[in-house]
Amino acid sequence: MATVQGHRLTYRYRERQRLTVKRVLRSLLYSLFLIFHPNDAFWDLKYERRGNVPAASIILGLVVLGYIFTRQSLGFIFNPVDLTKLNIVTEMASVLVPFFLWCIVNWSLTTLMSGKGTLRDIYIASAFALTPLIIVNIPVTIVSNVLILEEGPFIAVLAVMATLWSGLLLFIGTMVTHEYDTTKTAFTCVLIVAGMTAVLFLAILFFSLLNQAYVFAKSVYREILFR
Amino acid sequence: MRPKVACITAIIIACAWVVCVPAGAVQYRNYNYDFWGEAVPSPQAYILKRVITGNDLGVGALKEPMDIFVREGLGIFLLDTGNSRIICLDEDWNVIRVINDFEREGVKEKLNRPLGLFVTAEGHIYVACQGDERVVVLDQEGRFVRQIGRPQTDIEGLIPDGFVYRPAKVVVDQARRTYVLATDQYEGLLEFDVDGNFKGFIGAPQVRPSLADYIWRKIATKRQRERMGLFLPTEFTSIDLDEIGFIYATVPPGDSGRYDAIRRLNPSGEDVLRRQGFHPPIGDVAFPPQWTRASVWGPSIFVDIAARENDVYSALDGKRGRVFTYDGQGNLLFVFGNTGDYRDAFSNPVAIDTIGREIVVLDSGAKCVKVFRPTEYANAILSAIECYGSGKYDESTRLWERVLEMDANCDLAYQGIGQSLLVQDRFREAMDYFKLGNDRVGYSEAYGHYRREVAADYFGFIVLFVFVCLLAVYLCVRYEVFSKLDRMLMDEEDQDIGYRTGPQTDIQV
Repeated sequence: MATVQGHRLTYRYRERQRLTVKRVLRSLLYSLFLIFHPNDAFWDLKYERRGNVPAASIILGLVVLGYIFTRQSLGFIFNPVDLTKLNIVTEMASVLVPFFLWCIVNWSLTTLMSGKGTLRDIYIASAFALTPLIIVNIPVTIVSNVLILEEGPFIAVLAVMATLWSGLLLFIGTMVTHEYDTTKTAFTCVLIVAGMTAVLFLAILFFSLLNQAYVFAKSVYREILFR
Repeated sequence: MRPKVACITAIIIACAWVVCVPAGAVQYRNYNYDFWGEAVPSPQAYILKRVITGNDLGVGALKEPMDIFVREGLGIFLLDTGNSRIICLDEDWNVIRVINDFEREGVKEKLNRPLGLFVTAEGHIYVACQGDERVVVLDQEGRFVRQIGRPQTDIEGLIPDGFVYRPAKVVVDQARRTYVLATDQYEGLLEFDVDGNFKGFIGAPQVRPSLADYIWRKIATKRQRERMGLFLPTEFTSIDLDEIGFIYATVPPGDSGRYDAIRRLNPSGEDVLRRQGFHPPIGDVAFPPQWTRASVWGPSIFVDIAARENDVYSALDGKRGRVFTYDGQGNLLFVFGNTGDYRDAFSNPVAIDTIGREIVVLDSGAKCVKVFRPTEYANAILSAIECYGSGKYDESTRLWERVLEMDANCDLAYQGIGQSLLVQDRFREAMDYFKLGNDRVGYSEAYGHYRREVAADYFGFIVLFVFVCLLAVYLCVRYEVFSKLDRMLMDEEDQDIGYRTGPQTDIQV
């Protein structure tokens, strides 16, 4: 009995699926189901092989593109960005850096806290959780071009709704992926955010020290050179 | 050969430089602030016309002059604090008389440390004398009229205990109410009625402790708290009166700046200044903060302000020697001035006033008065504002276009043209100009009108488009398009696994 179960589990979890275009498309289509039925769908995403890395990466790419599109093309009345200074690399980083930081810190912490998800599972679940950002923000950005100042709250409400929706999905995604209960997930999420801050702080500290070391080495080199 | 070429080139460049620098050019780059708070180059707005010292006037050197006041029709009044005298001049800077002392009840008296000066339309000179705690009123010939002494009141608690009265500036409105700005006085301006009776304080600046201050206060012990400084409202630095009797007042900004460094107080003491420009009227928007190595850091500190025609006002920044001119909406029109030792810079500017469109700045450090005349650029802007205010939109547009020829960075000019086009119902063009001028509000208004026009033309298409969208959504739901798509994309391998959910289905014996 145990062997059979073990065999099936091995079959389910370990065996690599053949990745076909069809599968990726089907996975993408599944994201539309996921945003309305997160509890079931995150489970299937992990255990029924409905999610895969290429699909998650496509969603993440769309989120990045959507973000850039929003910053670039939001109606003039609502757009506070200086378009002459809009840097596409900075804009991409402002989505990707927090996202990967979330994934990595999530994995680092849940590994220690008996979470059931692998880094791959976390990546897929987190990326799929961002789907509402795409399907709300892009149409809102287009519509914002035909709105006037008095209709601005409409945009703000939708944008906030999309963010909250994604936040909730991220929460449920973490919960289902690691098979946690609500309290533990909430606690973990707080820890993850704290961890992200700590990592950022350390990164800044590291680069600052690296810079100082470089400056020191350079001045020593100069001193020797001019002596 | 080489050195020769270099030498000739250098000479040519030197000559070209001498030729190219136009007469009246100044030593610094003029600028204005754009929508994003960045300084952008801007043409020179005001040029030094003349410098007037005490010796030029033939009254001997000035000593620590503190105030200047111009009253159209009556002349210019210069308060020479160090010499305790008032120099009365006509509008061509000829001395009419010098008031050194006056006779009060048969006794000759001098002004003791006079700091502020105001002249009413009838020609009464009000002088705030810090040394002897009073405001002296003289007539034009320098004869004593009356004086307003220390505030007296029957109301308990209105005047705080240990009150030290040190009047510094004074203004008198059309109803002949006197407002006195006193140094080290946190309750606001002192208001006196026609007869010189004290009525109360108005317009006290609000206290706004920062969050950090607040938290420190909370966690400090009682004894620590006693030793901390009190949260006192900042005092005003200077006041001026506008055409309709409202008071322009300047407030020191603190280390990090405040949005209400300039206030316009109505007779009940409320701040009614409009702050609808890109940035509130605070002088320099971008400045080095405290922790940089810049020798001059922190926000502008206004030391004096002059109300002008059409709600325009000019404020003098004592820290960097700059004069900032704003319109009635709070848009920064232009900036000029600098600190330094050359002729058109200031060493310690203390007071500002205007003669028509000319600006006079009293430089206490250089002991002289510097008169600046507007350039064509400044004149065009001021005229455009005047024309718009009096409803001459065509003329206003023409002037703003003239401004744009001189300064393509002038957002205000684009906005001005946009406003005129909006009034003429030319919405599409107005939108373009508002966009160039970064005016979101104006653009929104023009766009609202334009949208209505376009929507009326394409009403049928819009309705059709919305209908098609709704129909598409309905059909997708009705015929389960997504489920069908899903099934279509399913592989055989997937079909083998099927749709089961939950791990319990995995366990098969």
